Amino acid sequence: MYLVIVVLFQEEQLDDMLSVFAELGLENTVVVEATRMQELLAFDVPIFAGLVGSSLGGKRYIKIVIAPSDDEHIGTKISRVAKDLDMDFSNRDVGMILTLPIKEYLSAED
Amino acid sequence: MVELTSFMKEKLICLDLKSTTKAGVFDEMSDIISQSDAVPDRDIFLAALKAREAVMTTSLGDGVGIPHARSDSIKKLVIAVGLSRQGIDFGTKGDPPVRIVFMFGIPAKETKLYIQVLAKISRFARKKANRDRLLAAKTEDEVYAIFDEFDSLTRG
Repeated sequence: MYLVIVVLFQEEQLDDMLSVFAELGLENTVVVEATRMQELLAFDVPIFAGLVGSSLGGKRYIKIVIAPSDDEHIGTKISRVAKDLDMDFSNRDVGMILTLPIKEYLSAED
Repeated sequence: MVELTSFMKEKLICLDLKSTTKAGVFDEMSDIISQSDAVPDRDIFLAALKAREAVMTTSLGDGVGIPHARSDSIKKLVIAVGLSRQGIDFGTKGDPPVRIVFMFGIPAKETKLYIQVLAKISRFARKKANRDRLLAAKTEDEVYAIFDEFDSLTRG
């Protein structure tokens, strides 16, 4: 079993990504609101205030979508379907997809 | 990965819907979809269709409607496609008339597949190029081929 983690730098793309997860049949999906470290530094740590207005465009929030999957190639499939929705993960501004092996999974049977 | 063409084998496709009202199209396409063994009771299907529509419109707002029914009376997922030359009034103010109708029925217990198919049809319908190609199709086989090509984008 694997855990797929999709980090979306553009939070407005969340709806599309949830649709991708739905289409691929991913269940037990959770969405996390997060902040990039550079943004936290810029806004919350005074000495790094010089980072405000940097190339990140001042976006404070990103979205992280997480789901378990039995498919070791799920990240590739997400990327392929997302590309059809104009989310191209080869573009560094879009985000990143990570697929990690799960060593132990404890949950009620679906 | 779910393939739309897997549920369109019967080619329940109408290239020129006659009705211009939502109720009329529901009737017209219920006749078409109930040609499938998957929908043994047309009236129950139509009632489920209307019940879902009463919750919230299935018009996507781009000239596309996805009316659908979840019911225990439906044996398996089946998809019908209807194209309208005149456009259909789905009663959604500000939206263009619906010219492409995806109608499907699915057993009520098939929640996961329901979500997958709805998401995939929505993805297809969002692209203007896909909508334009569909509306330009002249034959049922051509319509089917468009979906086969769409499926192939994420195949393998």
